[in-house]
Amino acid sequence: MRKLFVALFLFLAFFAVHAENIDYKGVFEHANQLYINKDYAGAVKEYQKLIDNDIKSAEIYFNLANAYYRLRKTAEAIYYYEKAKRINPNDEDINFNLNVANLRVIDKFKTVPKFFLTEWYEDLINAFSSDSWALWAIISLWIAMVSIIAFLFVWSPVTKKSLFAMSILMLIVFVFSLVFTYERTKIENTHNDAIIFSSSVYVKSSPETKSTDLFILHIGTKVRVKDKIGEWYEIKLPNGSVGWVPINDLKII
Amino acid sequence: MKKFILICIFSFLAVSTISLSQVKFYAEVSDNTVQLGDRIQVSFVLENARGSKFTPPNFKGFSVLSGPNQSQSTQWINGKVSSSITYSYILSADMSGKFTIQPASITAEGKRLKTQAITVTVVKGSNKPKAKNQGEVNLNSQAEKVVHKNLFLKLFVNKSQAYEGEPIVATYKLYVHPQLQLLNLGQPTMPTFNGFWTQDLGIKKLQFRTESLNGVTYKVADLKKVVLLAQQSGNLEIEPMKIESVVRLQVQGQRRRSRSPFDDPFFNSFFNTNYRDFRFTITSGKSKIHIKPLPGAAPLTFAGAVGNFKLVTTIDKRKAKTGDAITLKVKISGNGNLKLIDALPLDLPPDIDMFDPKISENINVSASGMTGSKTFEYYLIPRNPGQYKIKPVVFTYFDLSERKYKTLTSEEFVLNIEQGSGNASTVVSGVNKKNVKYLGKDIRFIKTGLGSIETVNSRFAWSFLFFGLIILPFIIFFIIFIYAKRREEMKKDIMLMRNRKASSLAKKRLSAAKSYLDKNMEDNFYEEISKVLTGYVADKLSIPTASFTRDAAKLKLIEKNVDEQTIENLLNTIDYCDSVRYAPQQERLSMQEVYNKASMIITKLEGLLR
Repeated sequence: MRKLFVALFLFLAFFAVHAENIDYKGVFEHANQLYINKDYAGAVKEYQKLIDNDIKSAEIYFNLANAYYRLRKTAEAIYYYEKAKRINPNDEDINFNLNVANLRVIDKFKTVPKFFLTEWYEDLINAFSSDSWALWAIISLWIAMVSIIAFLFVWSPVTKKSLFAMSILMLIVFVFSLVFTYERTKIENTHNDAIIFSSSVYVKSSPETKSTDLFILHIGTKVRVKDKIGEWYEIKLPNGSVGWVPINDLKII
Repeated sequence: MKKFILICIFSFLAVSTISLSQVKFYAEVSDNTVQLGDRIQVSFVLENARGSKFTPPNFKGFSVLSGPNQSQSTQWINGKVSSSITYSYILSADMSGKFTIQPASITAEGKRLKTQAITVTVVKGSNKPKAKNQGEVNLNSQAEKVVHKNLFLKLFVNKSQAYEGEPIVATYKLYVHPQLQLLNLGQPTMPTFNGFWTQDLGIKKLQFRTESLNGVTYKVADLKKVVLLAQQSGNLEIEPMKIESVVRLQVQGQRRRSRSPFDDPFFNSFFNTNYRDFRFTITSGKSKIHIKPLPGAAPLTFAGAVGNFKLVTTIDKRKAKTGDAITLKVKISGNGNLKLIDALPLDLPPDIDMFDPKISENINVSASGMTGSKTFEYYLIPRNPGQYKIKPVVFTYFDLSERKYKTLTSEEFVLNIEQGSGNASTVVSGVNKKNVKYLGKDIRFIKTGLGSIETVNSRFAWSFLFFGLIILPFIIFFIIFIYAKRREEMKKDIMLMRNRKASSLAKKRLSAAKSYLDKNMEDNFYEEISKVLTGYVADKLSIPTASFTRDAAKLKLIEKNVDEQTIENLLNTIDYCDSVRYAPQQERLSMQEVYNKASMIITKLEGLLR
């Protein structure tokens, strides 16, 4: 028994170690100060420094996007709002600012409203990050196990009944949390949305310069990337249109 | 000098002879009885005098069709000279009844002369032969014949068949015999040219020239010249043109008509001159034209242009700022139905606004069709910055000489649009309902607190720890489960042992009780018997000795299908042993009897409880 606990401790200790090579908190606060002083270009530089160090944070992305917005760089602003939104999909500030920034985008699409159950389901999945869902799964599983073990050693029928119900409930929570962890991880790992960074780009019918122009997209428009062939991305728009765009005109979120 | 004398003599002679004849002024009618609607000629004749101030009567009951027509004649008969002046009217009888033509008056040789009154009867539809009227009818038909030969309209069309949209020139020509006196021409009735688009080649003034037709020389003038473009295929008709004309003809004197047949009016002798004006409607012929449809399989861009054209497009700048106007000119030149060409559609990206094009024409319409150019000037206003293409302008026409469709394509223009000073991209267009609430809002402030920091590859989900923490409770559960299972089994083994040992233990105890019986130790004996029975049942039924009760034992035994009597015997024996030990008994069984009973119960239970 004791050996087991030692092993578990070592296990946790191994993962608890974070690589902390820069004083990100200091840089973050400095960048914020620059933003408050309206030195947006300076703030952008500082925030970018953090991102270059592979630090992922919704707050850094959000603040960087704000600075870009103030510099009237719409595509960059939307790009980083979308990146922040990937981490915190239900954050009100992120969504608000993204909507404001989207007003500067020229292309507008009528999106088909989703079925309300689908929307609820997606909201639920997006309510927590994959890590949080994973934690939910672990906690519920442990509670379920403790309840089952207690169930075995308790004689009183009333206690037994409630322990049984508890374990079943917790097992259900576990299964759902596990599914949501999976779903959320899938969302977090799929990078198939992109932002147009060129002021205007002709969407082609096939991945060739000489092919027919289908329509024009403008800076800041969010598209779904479906495929990649050579130097071309196949994209899909919210209204269902599909076409090919040179890689250089897009940036994947 | 000689000439002068001759004239003098001649004039004297003439005057002297006139004075010799009697002056007369009288009226005559062509017929005294006419049918309703018929024509009647009334003549007022002054003989051998020159009159002035001729006053006609009012022709009550008649309407004047023509007149006064003045004619003069001079005759020499047997050296006697007589001359006459005739004022004639052609009347039409409008009402039936008896009418009097009142006298006319004239002043001649200083005297006022009057004619007699004439009564005319107008009969309603009588079948009275109009023998006398025949002359008048003859006159008209004769005149018509003459006019028909010498005054006519002809329609000339330069093609008998054409394609849709191919120019056709229709000319209406007026032919007049040089000797015919054409007094007046009315306004022609214009044909409507159904199925054609028309362009009048506007003739301002009638210009006569001489032209010969079938060996006869005529004075000819173009009345109307029209360029026609067929709008539909099939056999189309070019309608005739009609024009009113008034012609003055010489006819023979009225009085002589019964005596001599008509001569050709033009070649009447000078002394028999008698003029009359006739009104005729002359009509040109009509013409049929076969319009061929354009060959099938016209390209989609074909919009009806037929002829031979060139296309030139020019743009004034290729670099501009948002909001600046760019001018794109499309010029179509050549010959064909230029006027029918509409503005060519431009394929523009939605970022560029376009105004309706300004159209200017420089077209010369002539008998050979239309030549010149048509220019469309488009004003383009770019709304958003970026690089945009103006797709080539495509113009398709039907080439008449080669009889096939030709498509002209201009070059493609690429426009580089920069952001102008007017911030066009903030002009929000097409915002959907959901986003309206964000209009005019500013972004929210930055986040000052740093939330969870995630460095790359430090995910918890699906990590080893995650899987470990999922598997661990199962392991723990498994361990605990196995432990519990084992304990259970050990417990069961103890029970089994007790069960097995129960019989031998009971035998041992029974033999101990037997020794007490032999030694007559009553208390010990009963105690032993009680222990034997309870111990045996408890072991056999796996009831812990501590929690052994009468009722529990009874329930278990019933479960094991032990009959009531045996249970009763068993319990009674135990009760008896206990009661003997603690209370004095009135009725006592012998120790031997109790011993037998106990050993018998055990034997019985031994068989039942296996």
